[in-house]
Amino acid sequence: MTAQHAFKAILEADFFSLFNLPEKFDIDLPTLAERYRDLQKQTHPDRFSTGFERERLLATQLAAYANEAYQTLKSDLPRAKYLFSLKTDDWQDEQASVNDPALLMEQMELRDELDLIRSGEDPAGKLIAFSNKLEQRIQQIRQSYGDSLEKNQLNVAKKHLHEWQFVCKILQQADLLLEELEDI
Amino acid sequence: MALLQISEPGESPMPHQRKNAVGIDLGTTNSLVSCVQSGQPTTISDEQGEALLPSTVTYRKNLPPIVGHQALELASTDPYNTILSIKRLMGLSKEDDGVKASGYRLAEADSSVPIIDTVGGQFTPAQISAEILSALKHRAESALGTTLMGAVITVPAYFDDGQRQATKDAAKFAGIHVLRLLNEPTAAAIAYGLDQGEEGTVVVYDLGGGTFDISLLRLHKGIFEVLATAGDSALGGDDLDRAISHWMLAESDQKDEIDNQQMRQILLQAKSLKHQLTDAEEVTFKLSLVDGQHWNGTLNQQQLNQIIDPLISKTLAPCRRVLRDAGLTRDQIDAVIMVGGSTRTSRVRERVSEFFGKEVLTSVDPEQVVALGAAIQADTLSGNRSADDLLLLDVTPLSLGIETMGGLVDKIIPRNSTIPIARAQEFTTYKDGQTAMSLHIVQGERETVEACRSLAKINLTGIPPMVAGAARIKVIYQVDTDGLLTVTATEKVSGVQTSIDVKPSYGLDDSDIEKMLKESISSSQEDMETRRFREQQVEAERVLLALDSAIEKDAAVFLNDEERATLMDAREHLLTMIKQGNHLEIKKAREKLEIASEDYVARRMNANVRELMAGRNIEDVDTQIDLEE
Repeated sequence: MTAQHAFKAILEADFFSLFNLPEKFDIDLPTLAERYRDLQKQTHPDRFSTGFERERLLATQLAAYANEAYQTLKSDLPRAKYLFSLKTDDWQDEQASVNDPALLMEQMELRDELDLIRSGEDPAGKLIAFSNKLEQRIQQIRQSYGDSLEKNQLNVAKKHLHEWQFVCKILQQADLLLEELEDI
Repeated sequence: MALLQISEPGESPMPHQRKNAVGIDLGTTNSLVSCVQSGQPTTISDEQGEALLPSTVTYRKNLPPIVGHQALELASTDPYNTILSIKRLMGLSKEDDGVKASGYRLAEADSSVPIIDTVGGQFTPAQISAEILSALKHRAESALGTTLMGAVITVPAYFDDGQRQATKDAAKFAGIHVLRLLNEPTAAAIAYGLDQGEEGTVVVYDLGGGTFDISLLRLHKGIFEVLATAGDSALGGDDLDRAISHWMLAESDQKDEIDNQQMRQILLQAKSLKHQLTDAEEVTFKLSLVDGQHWNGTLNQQQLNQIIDPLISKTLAPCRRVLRDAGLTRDQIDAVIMVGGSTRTSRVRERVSEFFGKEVLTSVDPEQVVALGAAIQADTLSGNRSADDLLLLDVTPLSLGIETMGGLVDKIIPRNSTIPIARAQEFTTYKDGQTAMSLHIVQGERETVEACRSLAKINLTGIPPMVAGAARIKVIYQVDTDGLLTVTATEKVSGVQTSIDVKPSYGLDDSDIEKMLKESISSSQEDMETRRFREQQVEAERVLLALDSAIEKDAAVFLNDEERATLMDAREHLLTMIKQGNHLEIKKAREKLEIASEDYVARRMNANVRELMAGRNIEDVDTQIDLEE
């Protein structure tokens, strides 16, 4: 086996295998963190700081891949999307593909609510309440997504993913607005 | 076995000497250099026993510039040729407000980088910073009695790509090999964490002369993992001084126009009042007015607090943001470390302590702690300390994105992503037969291009003509361990190599640097030949170090007698050239050694990767067959 072959195999390995974790949505996060740290201890370019240039370049690629994998798996939504993409090619980030009247209605309502907060009184205080509400909604979606994936109902899972993605986006906009208000 | 002889301690042809690498804190107000001696990080003082070097440069006509204390004394008498706080201008465009407000004479030039006009010539901020770096390099080299192998240079965590690049350019001008650009709060955490065997979640609050950073880290068995960072790269002690001086002018009812020289004087006076108030309850001062009159005033602790409170409040918003980004609450923080000269101001400590609801840590000198941490990292990166004891996982402070339709920004690498990181995005053509494409790379959190910082524009040319939407342009953003971004783009469908032309929006390109380097060297004591020789020497030593430590570890495993002999010959030849040759001969000998060691390096990497594969359920036909060998 040439180094290139094995190296390529690692860089193409799915993120769950990379950390020796079962391919499912509910993973043990402390285990993930521990395996990530172990992997970084083995691959980080600083371990090769007195080594050859080529070793450092290789290590940088491996460490970058481990970072990408960890970032993806440690947060719920990226992990959910990633897992879904492993199960089916039928996934696009595009919002345009959504054709679900109930979701479209929810989107409109949340957007309107955020606009009202922006132009109303005490936006900072209201934003915090708004964000809390979204967090709770996300917890619900998270549960439904996990359940439908468990039952292998991919179409339902996909619907939840779209909804989840949208609520997260609104939450980000709310955070950004809060930052602007705090003038960072 | 003959192969093992080489690893006998003390008997190798080049004995294992300590590699001299230093940590440099290139500060807004003061700079320091430090190194690890007998296992302890120590600052290196000048001949007068001073550790702090004021980051001040005075240019003179036909004479080399003065750096440090002597230059600082000329700050108010020679304001246009004495450059203070140059760090605040690093990586800025000449159109930036900060540059205009600096009060220096700016040269008319068609460059995007500001060029400061002095009696000694015209210089970019990177060149001026290089004078400070050179002074520290000389100090370290004469104290240690050897040339430096390299340095870890610290930068504010919140520095953007342009500011980091400018710092690296400064090191290049100063002839320093950069082992790493290290974030200041992370450096401080190392100094504290390793010292006290700390475990847990810590916050580093770093308020320096001109920059503010806040970083949140998790310390776990020698791994320093930065979870989030935030800050303001234009907020620091200088701003406190400015606020105090405005108060002084308002109190004295000064209405006349103040010139640059007087303003300098008042600012220095304000700084001194601030310092006095760390111990005293009240201080008196005498303000020289424009008309030659004097005005006597007093400033007490309470008034000072009132003046600076709004600025301190400005630092608390980023504190809230890092907590939010890391998904933590205040009560989950185990320790708060105070860093930077401005945290000597008691009001700053008071309010930060109040915010986090706990006593803040100030046991290590807040002005030295960053340099001490940098020295420890330099010691590790130069191989004196095992990397198993200390591993830093830092993050990108700001999101990196690309301009899309309608002046909006699409984020490719979000802020607080652990580095190194690489991420790809695909784009396509929107017109039939389109052969070129322009990519605009930006950094920042806002949704529109204007509100973000422009880093570079890339023109992709040579895309083969196709129907609209058929081309697949893969753009890859890579951030290295210095936090520096590289962007590459390729067209995937045709496999045709597209040419890339990166123009930094507010930086120097390689040819600019080369030109300035030639000019500056021709005017300094060090000639080009000496400099090139030193550079090649350092390069050669790095390769020798790599080879020697590899051989010591596993020559017996990977090399047969003959291969080892060939390698040793090439090594011997390089050693001879280092002693006798010129820079070209050293370079040739080094390259020969590198070629000779290629197979060896490949075998080692192969073994490393196998080790990684073992125990991992990674599917690959080739791999599985090969692993069964």
